[in-house]
Amino acid sequence: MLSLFARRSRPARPLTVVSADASSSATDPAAATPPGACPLAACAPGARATVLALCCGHQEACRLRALGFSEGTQVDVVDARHAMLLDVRGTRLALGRALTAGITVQPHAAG
Amino acid sequence: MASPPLAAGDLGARHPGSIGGGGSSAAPTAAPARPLRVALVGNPNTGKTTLFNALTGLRQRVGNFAGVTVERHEGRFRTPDGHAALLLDLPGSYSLSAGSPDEAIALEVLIGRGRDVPLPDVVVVVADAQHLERNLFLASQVLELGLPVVVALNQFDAATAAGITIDVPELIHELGVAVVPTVAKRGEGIEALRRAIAQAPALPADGRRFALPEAAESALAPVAARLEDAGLPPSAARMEALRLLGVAHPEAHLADVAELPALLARARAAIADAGLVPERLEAELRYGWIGGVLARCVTRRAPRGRTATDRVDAVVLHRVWGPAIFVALMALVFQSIFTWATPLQDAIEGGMTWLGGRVGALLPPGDLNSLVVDGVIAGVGGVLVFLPQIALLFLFIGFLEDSGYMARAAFLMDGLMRRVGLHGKSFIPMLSGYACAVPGIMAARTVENEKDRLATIMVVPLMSCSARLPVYALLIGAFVPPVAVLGGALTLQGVTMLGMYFLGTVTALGVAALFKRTLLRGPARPMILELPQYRWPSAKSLAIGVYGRASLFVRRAGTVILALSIVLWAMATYPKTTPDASLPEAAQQEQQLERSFLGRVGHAIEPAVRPLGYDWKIGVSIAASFAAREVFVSTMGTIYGVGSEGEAALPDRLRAERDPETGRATYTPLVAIGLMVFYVYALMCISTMAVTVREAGGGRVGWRWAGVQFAYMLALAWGAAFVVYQGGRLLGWG
Repeated sequence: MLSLFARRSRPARPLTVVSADASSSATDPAAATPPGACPLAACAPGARATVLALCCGHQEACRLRALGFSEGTQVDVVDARHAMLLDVRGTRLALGRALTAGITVQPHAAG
Repeated sequence: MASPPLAAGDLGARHPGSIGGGGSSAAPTAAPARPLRVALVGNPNTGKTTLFNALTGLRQRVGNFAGVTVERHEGRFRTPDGHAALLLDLPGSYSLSAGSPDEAIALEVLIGRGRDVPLPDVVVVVADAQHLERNLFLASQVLELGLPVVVALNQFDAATAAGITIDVPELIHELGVAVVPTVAKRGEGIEALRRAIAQAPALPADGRRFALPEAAESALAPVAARLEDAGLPPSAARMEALRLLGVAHPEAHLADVAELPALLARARAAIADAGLVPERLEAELRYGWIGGVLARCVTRRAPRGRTATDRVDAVVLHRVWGPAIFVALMALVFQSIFTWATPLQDAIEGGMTWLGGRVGALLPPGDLNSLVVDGVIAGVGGVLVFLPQIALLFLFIGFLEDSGYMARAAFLMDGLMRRVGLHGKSFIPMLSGYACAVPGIMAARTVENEKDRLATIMVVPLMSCSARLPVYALLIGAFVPPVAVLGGALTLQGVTMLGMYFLGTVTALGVAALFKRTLLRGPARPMILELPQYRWPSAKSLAIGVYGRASLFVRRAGTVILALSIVLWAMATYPKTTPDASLPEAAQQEQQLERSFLGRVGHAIEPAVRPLGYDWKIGVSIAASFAAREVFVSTMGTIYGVGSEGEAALPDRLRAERDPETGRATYTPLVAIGLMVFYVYALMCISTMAVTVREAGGGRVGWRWAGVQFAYMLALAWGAAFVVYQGGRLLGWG
């Protein structure tokens, strides 16, 4: 039914795995998940973590990187509920849960 | 490293002309034959619009970019040396990689692929001085394009207040272009910015080249070459090649570049073979460069503690207080719209009545008199009465947006909207829909995903807009007693009114959920939202925004609604018949109306509205209000022969109306409630339909979606009114 309304005929956009988890590139630092790494969604408010891999739609990953939320960036978790509030490079972002669940981070030791 | 404190006179006066080494700092001597074309780009929330308003004042106009629905703001100003400049405000974006149709425009214009926009002579990048790190990402992309660039460091005062010191001469050295600190809100630095803009075309602009790893450089060369063949300037082609590595699909305007996806796939593979991650390359490269620039140009006084924004957010985003404040704020907004607008509306109404009386007295009695007074003045006046409400609503929405609260509201509503299948950003268009569906539908542009955007557009007209208010007000005033409820805090009338708004809102959410599960099925795109720092909006910018919206509304009243009023008047007046002279005058008027074209239409649709409990007169009013629902009230006034002076008498006339055959009251409270429910749901607004056609894709696709919207809303309206009336009768309420 949708094809009736689609503006351009465009192939269905697959969810591209941006993280190297599934790729064979052994030189990618994110390929081997280090011990202690977890999804960003698992971090509690007040936590600080370093982004290891963005595992989400290509479009979202592109946007996140433009916003400064790229691999290697340090993020501070300000609040966590249905969406998360994060401080990244001096700006505050709200990210939906579907997104934070797919972002792998390395939490910093507390204190 | 420290820059002296900011003083208005000294802003940007630091050698803006001497950048670029070999470049001549002399202003162009020969006056150009055409105005200087200047494009304004920048991240959202940088004060870009305020800067645009500060540069151009009221010398601006709003149009559309060719073929798309993105609003095009253009303005004029004069450079200090007297040259005319044409300033184009490009939609705010975080990077040139487009997520929404708005952002695609910025890219198209800047790489010279705009459909009706020539390549600009100068690009002004507006960067928020407080968030330079993030803002320099877009700036670094623009710097590569090989166009003359001026960077406006806006909100410089706020950065200074936050303990951020920016070494402007050092930044000029790093970026290789003029950098002008500005405080657009207070007009500081604007003159210096104009001067820098005037000087920029004479400076060399080779386009910055970022050093790429060798493997990436060679892998990208074929892509850049192909883009150059397709007509991109060489420096822009290089930038595009790197940028496209991280983009899932090249933007639509690059679709005609042959074999681009294949070339990109090859480049990605080659880069991956060299041990790099192609998607990350651009961000790593740019943020790496930005890190170095910041280390050399920016110093922070102290680690950032809790800012004012943090303290406000602690309350405004609180789990309990946050939603409570949101609801209270909305209640306040609506209450003020109704109370503050009333005196102004009364004044407009009085003015129209006076004008109608004067013109009516001047013109000889007859059809021309009737056309001008009953058709033109009453028709257009009936709509102009909403101008104060619309202006106030845009003032509030502008304030909420510019202050930074709107993003918080979207965040708060995300939980609810997610259940529907949309995300928090869709809530802003719906909220605007309370005022008027037209700006609401236009606000849906900020929703990046096409399906989510369409679902939002489809339901915005279900939010009770200000044009329904007169209908509710008339029917509630006539049939709902002002009994106190809830211990006197509210009246039954108020509760009924709230109920109508609530009904529309709940239905909008339900219908959105339905669309997202059927026609527009697709995964809910996750929310990515920046929560900007709170700031006090610029009064001038707010005023210019409200003025723009209000004049758009007045223009529409002067064109579409004027034409409709004349058509409706003619339909109610012709063909002329000789009414039975033995009847009283009111009955004669009624007879004339019944025999007119409009009356025939009413009779023709009577079978369709009979099951809802309506007679042909209500049918006429509904038919007349298909183009603009507020016409319902004025049509009722015409039918019952009540002039605008005796408006208070209309409710009495309605209560007294009897069915000529059965002798029972035509309007029972049940009929009135059913009629209100009908108006909650029915899409009776030609402006909304026009804007849906445009925003849903234009052309045939747009018409199809507008058709879907109109049909489902009409079906919903009829069905709900049927259930209310017949259900109520079964329960013995009628």
